[in-house]
Amino acid sequence: MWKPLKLTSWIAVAAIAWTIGYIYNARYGGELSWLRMMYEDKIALAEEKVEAPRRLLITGGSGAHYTINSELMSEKLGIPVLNLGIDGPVGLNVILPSIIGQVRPGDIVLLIPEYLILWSEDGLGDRSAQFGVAIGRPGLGGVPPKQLAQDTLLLGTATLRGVTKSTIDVIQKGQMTGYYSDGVNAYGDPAPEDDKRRTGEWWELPINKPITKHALKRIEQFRQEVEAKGGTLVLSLPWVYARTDEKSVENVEKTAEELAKIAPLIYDPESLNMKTNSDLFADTHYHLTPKSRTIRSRELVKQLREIPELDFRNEQ
Amino acid sequence: MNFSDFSFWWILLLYAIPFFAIRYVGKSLKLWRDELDTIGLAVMSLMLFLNASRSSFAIFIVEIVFNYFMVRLMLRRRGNGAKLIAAIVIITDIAILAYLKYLTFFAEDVVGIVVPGFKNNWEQGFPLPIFQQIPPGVSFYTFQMVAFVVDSLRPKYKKPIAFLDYINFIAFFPQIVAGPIERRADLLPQIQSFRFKFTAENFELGLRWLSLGFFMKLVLADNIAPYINLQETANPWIVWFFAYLFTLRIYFDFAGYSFMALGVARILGVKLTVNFLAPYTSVSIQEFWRRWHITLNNWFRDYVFLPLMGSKKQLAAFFLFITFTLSGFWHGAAWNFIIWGAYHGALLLLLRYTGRPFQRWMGAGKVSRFQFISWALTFGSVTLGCLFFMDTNILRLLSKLRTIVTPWAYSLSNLGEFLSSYSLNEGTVLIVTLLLANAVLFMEHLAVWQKRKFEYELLLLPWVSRVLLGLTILFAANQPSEFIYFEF
Repeated sequence: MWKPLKLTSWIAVAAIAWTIGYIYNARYGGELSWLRMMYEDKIALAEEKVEAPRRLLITGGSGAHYTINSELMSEKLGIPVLNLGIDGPVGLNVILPSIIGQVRPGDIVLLIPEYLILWSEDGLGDRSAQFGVAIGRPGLGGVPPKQLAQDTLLLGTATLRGVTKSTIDVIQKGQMTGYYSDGVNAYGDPAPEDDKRRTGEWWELPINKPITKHALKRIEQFRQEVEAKGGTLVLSLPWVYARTDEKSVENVEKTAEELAKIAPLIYDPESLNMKTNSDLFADTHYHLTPKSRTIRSRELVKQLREIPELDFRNEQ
Repeated sequence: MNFSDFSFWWILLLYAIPFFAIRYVGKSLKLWRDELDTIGLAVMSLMLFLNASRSSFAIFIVEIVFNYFMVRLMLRRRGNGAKLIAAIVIITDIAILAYLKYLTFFAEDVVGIVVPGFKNNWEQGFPLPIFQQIPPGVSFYTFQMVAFVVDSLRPKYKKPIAFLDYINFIAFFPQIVAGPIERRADLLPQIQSFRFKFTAENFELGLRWLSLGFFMKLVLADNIAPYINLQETANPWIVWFFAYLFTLRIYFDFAGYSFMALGVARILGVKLTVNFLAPYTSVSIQEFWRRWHITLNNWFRDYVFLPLMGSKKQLAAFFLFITFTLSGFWHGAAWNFIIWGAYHGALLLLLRYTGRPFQRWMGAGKVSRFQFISWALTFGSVTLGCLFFMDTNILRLLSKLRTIVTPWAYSLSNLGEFLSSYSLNEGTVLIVTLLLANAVLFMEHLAVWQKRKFEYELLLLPWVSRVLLGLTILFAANQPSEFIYFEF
């Protein structure tokens, strides 16, 4: 064989294998693919509901996605409510710009970030780079070039574990599945049948540190971006199954104090949204059971109504 | 270098793009001198080493300067003067290695056992920094430096060598951190005439080795690693199974690394020594040690065993045992490694005295049965050895040994517990990984049975290499484990 052609075959093999892996990871089959599909479904819903003069867009990680009942909130507030929460490991730097394009004049944007997101020193998480590539916006959130190159390369690796799990899924269920594969309803909330429960032991999450400077700076920037689009940013502390020792409480108080300087912050001042009853939670320290989502949504509605600048008194 | 760490490839890329662009322009304008390739290689190696470990790099710079100038001095002397300098260099190198690698072990696990209270207090009064973990590469480049000193004592090596060539000989980035431990006669001539030779043939062969190495490390070793749990001591089925998994993992991990080194070097136009030759095809422990970590074993043979034995050939068995125990101790500063070395030394002696009678007892005419039983005994012995190797906790190791020699622990309920310890997904991944691992081992066996020229001939076939590359990209574990030998 002609020697350069021999070397081309290496590139061809690598490219084919990478493409197969990419299709699995980002398009259909791997965890990231379900997250991408969920995100795109939510964005499509946001684009459909453009006509409303005023909407409530709720964003954050899965601590937003799995914690509200948007339909109930919509009924109570009298405006369209859309759950745009995605996944914490996507990171604040990527979550915020990935939804900013959907903000219209008059919109209220409610950001409910998990502490994991607020603790990040650079606003990036494990999935930041790959999520950006998967949604067709590589480098979104200022992912450093080295990280972007590495994660893009790994996007072609389906992994033996991933492929085996998907194969078993196909045999057992007739289709591939993933954490986010249940889809979303018309409000962007998890599909009704989605009721994940923790099987292992519960333990209270310690809140070991307050919000980082980077997170504050990024949320401040987000407020400016939202306002530039004619929207209003509201922040909320997440409900979390947390340890309520002195240090954790102090850190949450400090976080609340700092966030309140940026935008109206809603939370229960008694509990600081630090819950000590694990029955409220589904499978993580943030995800709520469907019943708890209703309680949480009623509380959010009440707290939103109390913000004077939102002027909800005239709404139904 | 950690070839499975993206940082390595990133630094290599960031360096290579501007360097080779300048080189290309320089060559086009006929301004590029060949010696600049040597400088380019040295800078590349040192940058990559610095990126791998700053502490190790600092120690390395001191050692390489010291060694170079001492060897230079040595080459100007003859007779006892040269030998004295050689002794000073070797003692200094080994002392640095001992300080970095064995200080804590010696203080806590040797002196600490004899002197009450010493174990907990010795660090406070110690005047030098204490390393809890050896900086990467020290064990390997120290041995290469020592070998260079000894080899340079030979009369034929009286010509001084250039500093840059010495740096490239010791610091050559594909092999500095975990070998192969190269000898002066094999590597130095290639380094002295080094020019970047990116030929299609070098690329092809280099990529084949890289492909095999990556597959062994990222697909096999890294997918096996999460299944090995050192805590299990009560169930003999599980203890044996984890020892078996570790036996596979350590081979695929270290051979994978060595083959990657071979591949990267080959792309640069340098041929490194093949460090493994299908060790699990061995039908005796002697053969196993001719196939496993070859450059280290040759080092121990030439610089420890033969000098120790000298003319006292009647004590060869004793010195062999001592050499293997020392080799075990080289692997790590813990009792389990010493036991492991001594165990293999003892096995070699056992084979030396009982091998022939065993062969006669098995029957001379039944070669295939003898071969199979010998292979099974060898592999079983190596697996048992891995039990010592894998666990630095001596009390836990003793507990495991007690368990595997307790006949009633091999109960059906324990077997059931073992078989039901995996979920469907976990079990399936493990089975697929083991199938792939054993397919690789089978291809090594096949090459040996077919008496091919080279044990990895089948695995390095052009189409097999490309399949392995594709499988690596698709099935690599997304969380690579550390290379085991980086800890040594």
